[in-house]
Amino acid sequence: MNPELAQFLLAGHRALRENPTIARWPSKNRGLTEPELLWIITQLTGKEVIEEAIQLLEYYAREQLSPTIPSNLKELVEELEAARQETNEAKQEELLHKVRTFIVAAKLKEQYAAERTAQEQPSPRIPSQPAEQPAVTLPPREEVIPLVPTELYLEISRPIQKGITRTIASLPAQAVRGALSLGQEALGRKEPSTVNALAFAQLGVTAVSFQQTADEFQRQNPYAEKSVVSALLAQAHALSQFERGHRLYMSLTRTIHPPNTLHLALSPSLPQRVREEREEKTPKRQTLRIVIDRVTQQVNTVERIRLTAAPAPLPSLPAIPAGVQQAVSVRKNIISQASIWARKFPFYVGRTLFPQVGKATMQAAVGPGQQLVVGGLRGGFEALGGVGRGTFGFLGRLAGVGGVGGGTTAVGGAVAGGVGIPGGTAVALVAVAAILVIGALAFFNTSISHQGAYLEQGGLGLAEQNSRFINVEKTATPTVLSSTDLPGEVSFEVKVTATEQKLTTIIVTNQTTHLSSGGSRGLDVTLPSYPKELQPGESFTFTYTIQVTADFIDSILSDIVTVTADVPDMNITGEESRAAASVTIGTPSTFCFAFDGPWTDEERGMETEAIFNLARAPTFIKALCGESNERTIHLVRRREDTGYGGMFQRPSTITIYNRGLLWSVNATYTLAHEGGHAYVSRFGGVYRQFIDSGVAQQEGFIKSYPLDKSTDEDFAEMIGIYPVWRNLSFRGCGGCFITYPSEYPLHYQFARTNIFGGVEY
Amino acid sequence: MGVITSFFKKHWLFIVLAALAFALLGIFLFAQERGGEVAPSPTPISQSPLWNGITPGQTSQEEVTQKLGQPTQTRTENSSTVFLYPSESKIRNNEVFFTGTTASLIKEQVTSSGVTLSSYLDTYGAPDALLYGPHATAGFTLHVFSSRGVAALANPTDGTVLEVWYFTPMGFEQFQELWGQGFSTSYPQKF
Repeated sequence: MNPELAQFLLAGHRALRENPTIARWPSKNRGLTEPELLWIITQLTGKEVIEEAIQLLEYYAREQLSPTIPSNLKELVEELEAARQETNEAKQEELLHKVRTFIVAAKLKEQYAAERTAQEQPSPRIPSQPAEQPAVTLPPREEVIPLVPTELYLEISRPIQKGITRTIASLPAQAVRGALSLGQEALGRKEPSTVNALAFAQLGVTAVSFQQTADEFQRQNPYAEKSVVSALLAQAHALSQFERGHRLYMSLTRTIHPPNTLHLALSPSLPQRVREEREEKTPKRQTLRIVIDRVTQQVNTVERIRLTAAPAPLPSLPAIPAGVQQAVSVRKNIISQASIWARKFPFYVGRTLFPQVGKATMQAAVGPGQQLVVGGLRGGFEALGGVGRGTFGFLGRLAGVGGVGGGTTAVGGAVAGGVGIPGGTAVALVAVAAILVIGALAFFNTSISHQGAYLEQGGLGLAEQNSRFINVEKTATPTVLSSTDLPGEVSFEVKVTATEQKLTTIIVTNQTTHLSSGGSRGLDVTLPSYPKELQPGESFTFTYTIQVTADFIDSILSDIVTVTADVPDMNITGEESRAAASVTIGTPSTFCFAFDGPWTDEERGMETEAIFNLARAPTFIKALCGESNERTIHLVRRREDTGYGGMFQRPSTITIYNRGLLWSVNATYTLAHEGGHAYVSRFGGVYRQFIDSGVAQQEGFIKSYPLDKSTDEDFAEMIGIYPVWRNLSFRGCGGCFITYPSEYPLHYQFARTNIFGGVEY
Repeated sequence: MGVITSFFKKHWLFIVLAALAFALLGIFLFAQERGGEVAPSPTPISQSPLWNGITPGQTSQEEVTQKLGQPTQTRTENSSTVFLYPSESKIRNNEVFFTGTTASLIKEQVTSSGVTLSSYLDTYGAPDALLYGPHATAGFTLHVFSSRGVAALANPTDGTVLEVWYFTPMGFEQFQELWGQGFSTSYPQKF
């Protein structure tokens, strides 16, 4: 994304925020609505949380993460020829180096294709052979650290019947070195980041730091985007951190044609996830097994992808440079998302792409609007075509190979073409966006589908609750009190650690709740004093005690502590982490829920707290349980690390997996969602009312549910997030919080009125 | 007065026949109107059910447009042309599928709480099979009375009916092959 486009999007965002009346303008004058613009921003940035997306845009706008692509190849060659005529040797050398990088990429393409041919029948257990050196030798390195465990491989399966999958591809990851892009035609598709990745892989990295390595790589490959390089390095390094039992986030871009071609990019948060999971000491297994559930947008089928690897050494994780995590595969996202966007909103392309968004502030730049848009597009296309011909023709002459440097060069040229049209920036921006869309379609034959894939450590929809800068641990002592222990006391110990950066303005708050079958009440607890700042690596611990009297019998004592702080060195304010603990006192009622399976006392306490949370809405709990709790709902505990938290089975069984019991609010969410399935199986009329109310049609499916996008799951999710939306962020939308009443007012009102009897949480 | 009496005396037979014809026409129109509301069709076995004057397997596309008017939308699904007509639901449309130029399947969207699954079970007995598809985890199962040419997408717990399908009576296997895409005989897992 170039700075101009980022600035344009930011201007549009500001205009919509500052001019609420835009929403009421006639549609022909309004251009994109705010939700549409926000959707585009989140898609282009790859950030689901709009605040993060805006922050990323601001980085781009300030060129802190912007591409540092110099001239395209055609221009380089022209410059080179001019330099030769001028007998400017220094400039010739510089330009030759730049041109040579394109040749390297071309040779890498050949090599990659040869590797792919040799791996027609890959064996997942056999490490692939090291690739040959490229024809143009890069500077040697003293030490080569393999970026990827040699036995890592990716297995792609497609379900052909419930429970039966057929492997359609099994690719040694080392075949693509950084495992950053997998596919038979990855290079053939001229995706710049792929070219960069493969070129990078040839370097043999002695990674002192990501940034230094990125600098070195970029020195050798001046056309490469620094942000992409940094991101790829982070990804590659993170990939080498695999340890048995780890689970990863991945975002997946798969081309439909040919069917077994795919592109894989690790998510921005991967290094963080790896670190978190190391700390959480996930169960070790003999092999790393990662399962991604995903729903293809085109055929709406669930596919599973397994990534399996032998144990790999676990070196220390170096610090990740600022912004790297935010920059992963931005360009890839843009291209793939743009293709989706083009399919989804084809009418925007060319004609209504940001025609008058932010009219108040952008009118001068946009000018007459659509005519210039058309002009910009035409200019862009002409530039695209010209540059493309120039690039390939030159390469063909120079190196006997073709088709290199496509994406970056062509788009860059197209941008230049667009900028050249009167009307200036706005026109160019429209051209850029349109060309991205159409270019993506051209490159990928309109057959890309992009799926968010979920490799989670716990359950469905669980949030990225905690900041990576603040670690909060909390323990309750004891966790279980019998009636004979009353009166007594419970102590909660809280430990706060600054994980990476200095923390300032630290604020600790807690929410202590006493829950019983009779309802819930908040307790006032005075916290002891604590430091307001922490240096990197420093911690503080404090303890507070709650007196438990006889009237606490048969109840749950829940305590959630929230720590907020600023991270001045990262220019971040309001980072937040939470931790929770609960204590079971006596034998609290569980209404109609019957615990089956290996529940520990702590888990049972957490689940009981979830039941009590739901019971705050008597209408809902009675609908589930009956007036006298006569309808038993079995809660079955299964100690499995699935990609989801729970599962409902007819007629009345809810299975709770590990991910559904990460903390009390998560447990409430899981139980409410699965309870939603139980509810609707008994109240079909409410479901029909939900359909006919058009709630989902008007607001779309709630974004926190990442798997099956269907009306019945949306109904369950409508119920699932209702009791927890204030306290839980959701992985299904990239760790976003959902301001339920304003983001999904129709869902919220339907749930409030028809399910929860008017009770608000 | 005498002229009128004379007229009636002269043409009494014609007048009676005309009145009878009007009465029959009124009854026919009334019955046809009610036909769209009363879900279970009392069609005997092996005869195609009738919906709003449309008989699957018999009524042509032209006759459908004569009876129901022009569709609000059309689409193609598995090589069938589908005409969409408004229903009581603002969201869901009634759908008429055509095989070639003949109506072959009608999906009626039900909104009335007066139509329940029990009325179908009372009329047709036990379904030939149950199929699970969209809305399955919301408790809605397609109760297929394939030999009657009727299927009801309904929640067996509270009897809510979402859709009623009308088609040419056939065996279940044939129904599954023809119209059962997207449905399965096994209950899907939902998370």
